[in-house]
Formats: sequence, structure tokens, C-alpha cells
Amino acid sequence: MEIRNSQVFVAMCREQLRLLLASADGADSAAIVSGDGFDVASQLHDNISPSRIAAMTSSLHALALAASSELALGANRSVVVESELGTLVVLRVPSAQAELLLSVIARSSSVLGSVLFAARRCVDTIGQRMSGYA
Amino acid sequence: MPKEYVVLFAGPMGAGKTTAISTLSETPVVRTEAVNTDRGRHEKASTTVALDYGEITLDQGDKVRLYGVPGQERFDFMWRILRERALGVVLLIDDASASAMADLDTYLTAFGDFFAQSRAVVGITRADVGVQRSADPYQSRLDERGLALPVFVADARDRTQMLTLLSALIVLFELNPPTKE
Repeated sequence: MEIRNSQVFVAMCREQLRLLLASADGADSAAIVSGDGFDVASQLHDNISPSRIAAMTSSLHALALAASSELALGANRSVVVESELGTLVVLRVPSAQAELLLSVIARSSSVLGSVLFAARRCVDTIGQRMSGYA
Repeated sequence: MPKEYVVLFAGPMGAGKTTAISTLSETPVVRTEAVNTDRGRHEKASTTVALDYGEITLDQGDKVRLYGVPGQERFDFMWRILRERALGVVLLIDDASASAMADLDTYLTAFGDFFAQSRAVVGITRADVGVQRSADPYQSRLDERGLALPVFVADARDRTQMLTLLSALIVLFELNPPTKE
């Protein structure tokens, strides 16, 4: 079974997203998605579609990997989209078991460093716990 | 004077878009693949989630930039981004898929501009293991929609056949110069 179909795993992800949003000032939406762009768990503003953010997260991450590889920049750590009214960051969940990505949307008033710090902690926690849901 | 073209490869998941670009490109192909977790839809191990990119120089010196779009409709925002840059489209339809004819309709609509302006060709792939095993039913469907465009049975792994598709499209460009610039 794909891990994204495990209800227990999805519940754990949703709880980690809740903790992330509570700890990173200005972060107001977050989602865990599969590498090929399916929604796994999300805590999103009403006006954000889970399936849209899932597909876009997957494309952005894949393009960043392609650019990192093309330019011999080594492994990709994160993708940051910095716009006028907010920031989107995408990180990969460190795991050999399944390809999962975290997307975090923060308001422009937030501090990028603190969003990235909280996001990193979130993917590390999910990555460590993934082996229990195989 | 050599020209430069941008051509899209579109079509449903598993129709051979990434393979076609790999077959044609003379530069290492930029790929954006992820592990396919939608095995109910298609059994293949990986799937394109943003784009494929390759380049080819044709005999007369014309350079063609080849972009493959993701096959799943969820990625239609990538279709829009890439459609803006392209002069025409090679539509690949997997004849071994039960939904092949419906897929043709979907893409004739989604990439309707290219078809309406006669800057599109259709390649029917996997016809050797396919349902129709011929281009005729697909050609008939285009005829029904008033589209007089070429439909070929073509193997995405075969460079000569892919070059035939691409060359046919380039000829259409010459016959139908772009009205938008």
C-alpha cells in the first residue's frame, strides 16, 4: 500500500503540520504531498486547493532538482518562492521509503529563516517516523 | 537561414512523451520525474511532473526545442506555461489504452488552438500491442471535427519515425505561419 493511503500516517502528518504552523510565525498553510503531486495531508487556507498545491509543489521540486543537477549544485535542500505578499517553501521529507514533500506558505511579514527552521524540523520528524507505517 | 522552433509533446500518461524526446534529442534530456504512486492509472515506475526538455538540429540547420508536458491533467498549469512558448504540438496517443479515443478528444480540446491553426500532428503509439492497431479511427475522429491533420502510427523509441512526425509538423509551420507573435 502506498503510504499516502495510510490513515494513521496521514493523521500523524496532519498533527506535524499543525505543530509547524503553531511554531513558525507567519506560516499559515502547509501540506505534505507525494513526489508525483498527490495530496497526503494538509492544513490549508480555504482558498487554497489541496490538489492544486500538491501538483504545483511536485513540479516546483522537480524543476529545482533538475536545475541543481544541471548546474552541479549537489543535493537540493529547499525551494523558496519569494513573492510580494508571501513566501512558499518546499522541502523533501528525508526518507528512502517514499518520496514525500512539504510545502509551507507564509505571509510576507514572516522571517524566512524561522519558517525554514520549522519546516526542516517538520520533515525530519516525519522522516524519522515514516518507517513505522510501511 | 536556419530557424528556431519550440515544439510540445503532449498526450496522456504513458503515451511515450519522455521516450520520444529522449529518442530525438541530441543533448542530454532535462527530466523532472517522480516515483509514480498512481499505479491504478498506469503501471510505469516514474512519471513526468513538470517538463522534459531536449534539443535537435534538423538537416537544413533548423533547431527545434522539444518540451514534454506532464500527462496527468492535475498538471495542467504546466500545460498553460509551456503552451505559451510553443509553435506547435506533437500529440501522442497510447493505442494500448482503453481510453485512447477519449484521450484524443481531451487533448484536441486542451490544445485546441494548435489544432485549429493546423500546427499539430498526432502519433499513435504502442499500436503493435494496441486496440485499434491503425491510425484510421483516430484520423476519422479528426475528420469529424473538421481537422485535416496528419495521424501516424509511430514508435516513440524509433528515431526515424519520430523524425517523420517532427518533420511533418515543421512542414505545417511553413504552410501555416504563426499569426500571433
